[in-house]
Amino acid sequence: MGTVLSPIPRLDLSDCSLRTLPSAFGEAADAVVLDLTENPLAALPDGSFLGFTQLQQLVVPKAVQCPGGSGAWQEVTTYGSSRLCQSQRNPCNGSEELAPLCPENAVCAPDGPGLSQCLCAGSFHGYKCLRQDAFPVPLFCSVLGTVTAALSLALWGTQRRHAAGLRGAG
Amino acid sequence: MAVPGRQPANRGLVSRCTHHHVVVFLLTFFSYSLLHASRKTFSNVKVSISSQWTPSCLNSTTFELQPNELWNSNRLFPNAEEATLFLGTLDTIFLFSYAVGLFVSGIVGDRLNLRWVLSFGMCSSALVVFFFGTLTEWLHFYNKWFYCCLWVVNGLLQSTGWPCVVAVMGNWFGKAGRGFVFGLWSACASVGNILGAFLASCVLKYGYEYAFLVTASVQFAGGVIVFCGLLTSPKEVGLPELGADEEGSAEEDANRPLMGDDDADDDDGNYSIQAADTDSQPQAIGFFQACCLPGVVLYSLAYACLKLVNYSFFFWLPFYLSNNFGWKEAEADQLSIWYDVGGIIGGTIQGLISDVLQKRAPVLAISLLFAVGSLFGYSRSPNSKPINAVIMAITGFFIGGPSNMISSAISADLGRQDLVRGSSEALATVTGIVDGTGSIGAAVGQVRRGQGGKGNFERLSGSATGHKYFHYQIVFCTLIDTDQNGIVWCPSEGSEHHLLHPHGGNCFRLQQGINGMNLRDLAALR
Repeated sequence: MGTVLSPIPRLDLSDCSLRTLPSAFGEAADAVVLDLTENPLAALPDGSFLGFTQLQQLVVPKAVQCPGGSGAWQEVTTYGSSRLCQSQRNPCNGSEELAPLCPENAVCAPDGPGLSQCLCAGSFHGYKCLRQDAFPVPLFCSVLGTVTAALSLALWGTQRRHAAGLRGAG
Repeated sequence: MAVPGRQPANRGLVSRCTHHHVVVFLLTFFSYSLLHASRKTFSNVKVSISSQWTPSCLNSTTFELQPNELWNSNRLFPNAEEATLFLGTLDTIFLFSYAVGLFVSGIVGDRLNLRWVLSFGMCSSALVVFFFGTLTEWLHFYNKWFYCCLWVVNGLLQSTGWPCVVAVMGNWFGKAGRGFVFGLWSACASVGNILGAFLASCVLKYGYEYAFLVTASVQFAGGVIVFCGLLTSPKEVGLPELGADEEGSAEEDANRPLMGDDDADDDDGNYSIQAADTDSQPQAIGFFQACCLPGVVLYSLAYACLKLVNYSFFFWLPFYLSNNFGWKEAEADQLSIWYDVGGIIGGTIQGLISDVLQKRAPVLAISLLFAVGSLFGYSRSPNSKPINAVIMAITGFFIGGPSNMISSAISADLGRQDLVRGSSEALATVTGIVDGTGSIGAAVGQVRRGQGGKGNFERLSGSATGHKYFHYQIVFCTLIDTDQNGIVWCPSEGSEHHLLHPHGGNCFRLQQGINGMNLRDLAALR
């Protein structure tokens, strides 16, 4: 599926005979409500729901656990042949052992049910959040250029203007 | 007996010091400082570079940091240890290509215009540093071989600096007072270190590529300024060339190298004053001719040994301090500046003394004798920062001082001695030979250290015996230096380890740490 799905708040994939999640499932990461019931799903592999930060209601077949475990959800209820996973918990909050310790300059952010990511904090950016703020290129260039030009001219005037090229090349 | 010749020469120095002299002093000083600053920048940003080149590895494998492209997309090296090893390799590559380059660029400097060679070297090496540190990062192009090639080229280009600036200084400042002027002037490397550390720390938060960008731009600007402002010789502004105008005995002295052990040559006046040769275009001296000049080979070997000691000390000092006394790394870094300070003061004062005595070798020998004592003293330094700083400054005085003197004042003496008066363009070649041999000594020392226990970083903290033994090794090397009064064959370190010290392994591992790497990296790995 090469097409890019437009943001879908609700996605009904019930009764689609899905044995596994489709490969482009990740493109539905904006879904708020997602229905996977009536599918012969065996299990949901880890990380299938990476990026599903908006998801508030997920209905899966009863045979399948809620992604991230029941601890990742505020409320897990079963009815009939379905299991309803409601309201993701923020894994960054509290003393959950799920929350990773983010490196310096990065903060934890939710990244789907039971999943978290480390994003650059504040003004940090770049690979591994090693950089902060933007280098003032114009200021640096103008200062350096001015100083260089001034010094070069001054020295040329005082030193080399009357210099004879006695030690010319060659 | 030195008195009659000295007085007029000294008066001559003061009276003939024009604003050209001051500008030449400052320009050469800062151009070498900038070259050294860009080397220092590289060692100061190593932590950032190695973290840019590696994926994040948190100790547990359970959490792979997400998002992946932010934390794990750069995989030039699997972990920081290997990146650090590679950076150490780059240092060694640089030292070797620098050493080779010194021989070549001295020869080139004497044949082409020194100003052109110097400003070409500065600008082109600035460009290479820009490619190495900034452009590759902007383009996200990371390649080990590319980095190695760039660093070889950088070593070659950087090597144009030293022979050229020493040659220019030697052209302007005569033998009278040369020891003092050069002693003061050879602070340029230390000033460059401080400058580089300062520039790097100022802009490192924007990313390591900007540290390279800033030092490279400043160095490039320096090259342009040198091109516009440097006068390579007094001849260029119609001032009399050194020695050509000085009358009588002063002239003789000004062109005589201050290196003979016998002092019978002060009174004899049978050196011919070759005033006529200034009219003709001077012929540059050949490489082998330069090697055959009296004193060149001997001082080169002496310097190889001394530079090895000096560099080892230099690289190893903060590490030793933070390890042995448990002082904080930043404090240790700051404290180790005293070694530099001692070296600058030592070079200046010993240069002054050698000017007064009109002899350099005895000053060197006595200084190195004291160096042995100060090293023994330093290895027994109590755990007190002021006392340690004082002893460190004294050690720097007696080791860094002679080292500075050989590489600058004595090189200039050798390059302007009577034997080359007819073909006066020998300065840069001789300087290149002396400093090149010294750098090879330092580089070989690095490699020998590098051979031991690869990957044993965790043991780098070493043991007290390792530290102490390292001292003795330096002492030994210095002793040989002293005994032979500048005629030195540097002992081959590696074998001594095994012969003299049953626990040489400790020392090897310790010295692996000095292998040209930033000690901060290593401390981070511990």
